Amino acid sequence: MFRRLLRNPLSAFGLVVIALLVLLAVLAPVLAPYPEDAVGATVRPERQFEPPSGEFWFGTDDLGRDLFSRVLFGARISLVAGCMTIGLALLIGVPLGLAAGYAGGLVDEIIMRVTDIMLSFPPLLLAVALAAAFGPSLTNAVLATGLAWWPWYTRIIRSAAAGIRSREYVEAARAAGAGHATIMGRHILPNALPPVLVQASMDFGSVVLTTAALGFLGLGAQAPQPEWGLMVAIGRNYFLTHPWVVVFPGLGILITVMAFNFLGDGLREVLDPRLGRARR
Amino acid sequence: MRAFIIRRLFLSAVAVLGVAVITFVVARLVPADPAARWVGPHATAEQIARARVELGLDQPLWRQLITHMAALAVGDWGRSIITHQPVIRDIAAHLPTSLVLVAAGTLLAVALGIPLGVVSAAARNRWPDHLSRALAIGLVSIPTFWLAMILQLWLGQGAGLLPIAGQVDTVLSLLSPVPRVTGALVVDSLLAGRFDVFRSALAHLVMPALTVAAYPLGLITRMVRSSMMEVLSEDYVRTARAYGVAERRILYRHALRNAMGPTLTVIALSLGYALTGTFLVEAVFAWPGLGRYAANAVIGGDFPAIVGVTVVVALAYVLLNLVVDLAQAALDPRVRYD
Repeated sequence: MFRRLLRNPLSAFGLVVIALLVLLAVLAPVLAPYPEDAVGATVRPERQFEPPSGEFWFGTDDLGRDLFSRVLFGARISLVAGCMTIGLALLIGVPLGLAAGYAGGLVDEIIMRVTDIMLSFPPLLLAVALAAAFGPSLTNAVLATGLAWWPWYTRIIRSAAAGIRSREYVEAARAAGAGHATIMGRHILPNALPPVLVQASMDFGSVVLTTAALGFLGLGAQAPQPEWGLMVAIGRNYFLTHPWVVVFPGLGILITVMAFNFLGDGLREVLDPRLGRARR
Repeated sequence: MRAFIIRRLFLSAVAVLGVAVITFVVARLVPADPAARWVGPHATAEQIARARVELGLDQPLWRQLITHMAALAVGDWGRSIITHQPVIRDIAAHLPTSLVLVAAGTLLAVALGIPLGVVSAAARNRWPDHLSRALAIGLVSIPTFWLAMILQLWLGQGAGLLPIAGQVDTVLSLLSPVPRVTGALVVDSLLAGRFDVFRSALAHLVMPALTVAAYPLGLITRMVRSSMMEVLSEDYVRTARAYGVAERRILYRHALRNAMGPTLTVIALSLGYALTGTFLVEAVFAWPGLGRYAANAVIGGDFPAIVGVTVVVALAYVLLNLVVDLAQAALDPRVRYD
């Protein structure tokens, strides 16, 4: 499967960019020329709004801080926040879906109706409403987005679990006296998990985009955190005269989200048997 | 068919109830102390206690929930903390302006997305396909609020082609305002026969509409492509080809018609997304609609307004999904037995 992903030019490109982004994020403290600017420890009023140059590759912002360093550190925030959001959504969605698919009956009906209700909100709307209720902070933005995201995983894992429940090896385990928890954890979960993980990796781009949107609305990261959405929001007041203050953080979001979406598109192409049939 | 309609209506009713419950959670349960927030930062303990009784916060939760639902049902959505107006009136005032934007954006997305998707599917794995796929992925990856600013820089400031922000030329709107009929300026100016205002409103609409169109355009292109490819592998398409039916006719007459089902669903979905997307777009363009109202409410911690907007958008989303499902069931008998 991995080889087929690499053969698809779009997903191969996505994978390479993701690898680069992870590398940049990990090495940010080493690579950034002014790491202290990223944490907001410095201001240089006299160097405000300098255009991109050899000294400041992406120019400086309203407080004279090096944008390149801040954008670099922004990659860390976006990637970590994305992982935590998806992790939270999986942590809620997977057990619920497993329970619904395995138990069936009333439990299934209740869990799935709640899931349907959650899915009757556009995800961004729910994330905005929850984040507004929790109060503005990066942690709360992650929490809100995760809480808006789990129903998709519940749906997928439920149908996988329901399909596996009546397989012979599960029957055999039950006959051998295995308890419900053992059957769910040992026999059903490992087989139901792959489609969910694939979906999760496809969702990563959307999650990064949502976190940035919350940051832009003032519901996510707070100054002086170098979060890309927040940087664009602050730059909004100055960008017509100093475009670089929004161009570079925005490019950070665009490139990250696009790389994950390229990968996701390739995954879909490789895994969807219905699309495979059409291959001429 | 009747069983399908009844089941679908029932599910929508459950979803509406769910919307009420979730907005209750957002408004009442999550914020640390709604009463303290209601009376403001300088209130005494006494005032807070009184507000708690007034807001019914001393009641048991289930009774609060019922009160909340009843108030939503009769349109008593509270007053906005920022505008001091009833939230429902604020929403009614702002909604038409946003609907114009959403309609224009979705129209653009449908008009461009369907042909792009068809071309992509017909040229599978050749360069037009790669190009349109890359474009579609790019469009769903762009942060809309950033795209809005880039357009302002490029088309507004750089090329000087379009006005940077606002809904209409300020001089026009101040010196000779158009009477409000529908609340949508493009419509009202036509009704009043004011073509100068209409032209100005249209020019102001282009950039916000392009921004709103970006995400749905990407979604629609992708969906048309994948459902077209599925349809193109069907036997009846091969039969049509064997009979020598022109490829164009096969694509647009036979295949596209059968690929429209999933596409309709995506269009409905993206209408809902576009409505939420206005939260991010309208503030940038100073577009006086529901999105800017919502963004301001979010910044100002205006909970009655946030809840009101959430309810309206969620209800619109539920309704859209219902309409699309029913339309699909009416057009395609296979859907009913799913």
